[in-house]
Amino acid sequence: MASRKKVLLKVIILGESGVGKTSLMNQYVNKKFSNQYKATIGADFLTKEVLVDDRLVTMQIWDTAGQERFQSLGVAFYRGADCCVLVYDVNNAKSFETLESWRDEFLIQASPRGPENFPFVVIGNKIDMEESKRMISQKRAMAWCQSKGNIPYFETSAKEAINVEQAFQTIAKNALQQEVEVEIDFPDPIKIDSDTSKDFGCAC
Amino acid sequence: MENDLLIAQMEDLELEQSTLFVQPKLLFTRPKVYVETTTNSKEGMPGFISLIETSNYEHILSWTPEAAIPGLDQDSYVDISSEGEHDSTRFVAPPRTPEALRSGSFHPSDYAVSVPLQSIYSLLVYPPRIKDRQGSIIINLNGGESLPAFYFHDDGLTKGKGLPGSPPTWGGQDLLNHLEQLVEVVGSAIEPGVYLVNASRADKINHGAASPSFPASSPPSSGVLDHPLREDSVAGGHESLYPDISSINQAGSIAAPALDAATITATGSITVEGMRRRRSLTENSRSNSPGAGHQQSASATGSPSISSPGLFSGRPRTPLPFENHIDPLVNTVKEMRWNILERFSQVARFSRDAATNILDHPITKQILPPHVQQRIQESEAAKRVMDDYDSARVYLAKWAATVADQSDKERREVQEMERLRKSSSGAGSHSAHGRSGRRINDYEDEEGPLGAFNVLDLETECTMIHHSRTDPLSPMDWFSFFDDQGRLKVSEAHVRELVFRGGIEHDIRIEVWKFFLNIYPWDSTEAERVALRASKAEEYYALKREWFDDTSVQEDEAFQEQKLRIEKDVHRTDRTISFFASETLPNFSGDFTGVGSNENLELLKDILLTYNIWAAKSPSERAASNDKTSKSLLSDASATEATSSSPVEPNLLEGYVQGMSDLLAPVFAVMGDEVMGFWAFVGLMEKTKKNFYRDQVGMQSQLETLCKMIRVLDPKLYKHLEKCEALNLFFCFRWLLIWFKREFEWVDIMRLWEVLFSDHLSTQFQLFVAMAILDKHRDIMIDHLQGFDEILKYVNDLSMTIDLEESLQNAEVLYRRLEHVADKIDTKRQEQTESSGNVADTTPEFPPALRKLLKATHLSTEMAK
Repeated sequence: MASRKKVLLKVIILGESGVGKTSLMNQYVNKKFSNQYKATIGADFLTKEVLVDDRLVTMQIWDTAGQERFQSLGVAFYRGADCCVLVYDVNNAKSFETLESWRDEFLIQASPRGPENFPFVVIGNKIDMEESKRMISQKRAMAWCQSKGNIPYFETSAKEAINVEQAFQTIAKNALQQEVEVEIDFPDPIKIDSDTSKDFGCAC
Repeated sequence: MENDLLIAQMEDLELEQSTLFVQPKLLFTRPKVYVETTTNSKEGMPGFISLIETSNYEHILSWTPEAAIPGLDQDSYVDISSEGEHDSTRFVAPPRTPEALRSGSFHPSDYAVSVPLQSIYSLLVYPPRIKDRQGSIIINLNGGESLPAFYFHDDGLTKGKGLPGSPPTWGGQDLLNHLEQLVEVVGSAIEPGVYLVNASRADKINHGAASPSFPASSPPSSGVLDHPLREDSVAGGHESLYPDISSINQAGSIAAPALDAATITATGSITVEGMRRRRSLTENSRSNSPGAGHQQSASATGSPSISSPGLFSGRPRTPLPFENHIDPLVNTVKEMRWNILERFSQVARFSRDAATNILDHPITKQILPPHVQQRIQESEAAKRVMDDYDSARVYLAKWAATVADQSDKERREVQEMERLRKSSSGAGSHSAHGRSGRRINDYEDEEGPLGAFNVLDLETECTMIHHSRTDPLSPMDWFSFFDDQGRLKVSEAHVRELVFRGGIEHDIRIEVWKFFLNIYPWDSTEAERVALRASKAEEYYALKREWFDDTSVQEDEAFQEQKLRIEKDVHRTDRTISFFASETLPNFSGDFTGVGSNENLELLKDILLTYNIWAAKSPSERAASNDKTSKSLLSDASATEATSSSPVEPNLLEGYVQGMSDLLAPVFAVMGDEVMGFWAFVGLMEKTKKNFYRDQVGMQSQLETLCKMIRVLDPKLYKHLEKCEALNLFFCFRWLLIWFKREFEWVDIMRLWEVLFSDHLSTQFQLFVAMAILDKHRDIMIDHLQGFDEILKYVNDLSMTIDLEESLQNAEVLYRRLEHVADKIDTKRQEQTESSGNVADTTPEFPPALRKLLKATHLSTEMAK
């Protein structure tokens, strides 16, 4: 029975280098902040147990390298994702402008079933900085989110732990919904190996 | 009915058996401790947990259902638990034995249980949590049995026993504190919820709980300690190891008189027995007191310990050890562990059809004391919970790794002794690679690429391979290599080999690295090098001026973006290293306001920006500028290469890529100045730039080659990775991209990199280092890790735990092993071709990608000639 199975929600955090992906993850999971997290190379993840609608689930939160150069690794990391978090820095216009390509790239590489309904969440981070530095207004960000099928939007500060919990609650909730839908669609865990893209790996 | 244990125990006692059940004394008790039953309510059955002293001074832990205690005795229990123990010694009915638990009848008294403290092996402590306020303790016995979990319902207590106004103590903590006065309780460093009782030395080592009983100076008298039933000898054993009793923490020495006072009050006179007991208890509390080295050694090894209040004295709640958080990693690990333990207890709760609810799952075995495993029972429920619980597996894998590491060390010590023994008799050698025995089996049922090879032969031969690691190159040796013109007298190959084998002492790195990083030609004289330094400086500043002095470049959008990218990363590169730590300058970059900068960070930025200019130039442009600046150009290796090789490097034109700042920091720090830092970085990038190509082809080919290496050298690991869908080896991506920069401490990085610079055996020696690290952990991966994500997590978390020297030794041995396999295959194919005239069908060719790795050997041998 699907409901008895232990639920693991895989969440992928994407966005430009330096927008605070690692910080958000660590703030959420470990309740800690440091402004000296090294640039993420490759990928890593943390897990956290959360209650979503009275259900105990494990969130596996993947933190990835922000430089687009490393996107080709995505195939391996994105597979089986239940939710994708797009992060930008509200004080950095470019990091907002690239959200679209991060989203597209994710959909290509993760190739989820029903890409049009795949749950994304957008986070505008670093709202603790002074207002004068702000480059992207809330209005603009929300408009973009709406245009992409009403993506939930949060403004956070990983540094000051503002809104981080709330954002991840929504992420967990939407991820769980996605996971449940997948379970209903495919009651048998049939593995589909045909599309394992082999950009890398051993062909020996 | 007596339990076997109890009988054995009794036989060991000095006093007559008949006195055993005469009026036991209640030393400690706690009400509202619940045990689950099959018939009672959800909560289970309430009772008293107590520590009891029999009249022959044996100490017993017992749990008695409320309903089973006669009225009079119940008063005693209640009195003791609510009033404190100072002035009361009560006598109660003899407690039951564990036998009753299995009787199958449901009379409340049948649930009563009692065990001698000496038969307790360990306690699993589940402290109360916000959601689950009761907390519990599971007691494992020496024989492999476990008592049912005791749930401490402190809510039911009207008041705590602590000092007035202090928060009540959790019952479990209270029990631990009291237990500790009677027996030795050691917290496991690996499993902080696990407390070993009178643990053997081996158990202490396994649990990383450096035994308080074995200070380095005193050899362990394990013979004594291995007899936990002999209380006197235990105490004696401890005492002999701790001659300086006066230094013992006061808690221990105060404790015994406190109890004696109670005895006196209760009996009204001091009996001979009272005296005897005083003696025995005093010894016990001395030897078992945390003050007697326990706490000391625990804090030294980072293992938790319980700080203990004086015996029977009410104290404010003592924090449990896991509350003292140390660092984030430890925390993460601990959280995972609690998750697992929680799970065990959950499972235990819903499948309580036996008194022992410990589950049979491969990973369960790792977490439970070895003997408990005997009692492990099949449980589908447990498997279901554990099967997809990846972080639990990752955690357990780590735990297994520490245990394996320990035994590995011991094994090596034995080997070393064996070797010494043999060599003193004039024979024998040792292999750095100790796992060859295991390999033989691995090959037996594998269809590796070696096909019909007699792998057993191969394996036997390979055990004879050793590494050649030695001491670092000293300044004295280094300077002796030069003639009076400052030209190397010894061959380049010789220097490369020396550096490969031992590295370089730090003082001369600044000079030696310049040869390895293509700044100085190997055949240059001192005068040439002086000139070169000047021309290199000129060249560098010319490059730098191209952006530094040109506002149009600086205003360029692409440049700005690069600058921002670089600034972001520089400010988070090696900031813990003193060279980059200070914040003496304001930070002008937009992104990190509020965080200061320093001169060296600013120079890192400048070097990286200048490198962008350099990398954007075609090799011919570089050569031209090089010519311009250094007229009397030496046969500079990079210049030769630049003019002769393909001029196209479109891949790198896009400038800074994450990871470059990691590569720059150490070479800049070693060079100590901007100009040489830049050129050293250029030299390093020549070796690593393929890693940063836009199409990632450099990383891809390295990972593929590594994958082939695994397939040839460790088919079983290969199969496992295949099963885990992890053959892309992305978990090695960080290792190779920045040459293990994030995996080793700063000083180790320098030692590792100069070995990689040396190109002595292979120009791709990093792949052998990677293979060595995988090899070290391959058993763990195969046994415990079942998916790509688990392997990635495990490998990422190896960071800063890897032994560099061991890795380098193993890497060299693996290189030789690969070489050996290549030779074997070639010979075999040759023979087959000769005998059949047919190109070997049976033996596949040795992979060309791997043969390339071995090429450097031949090159350097040729060069040496």
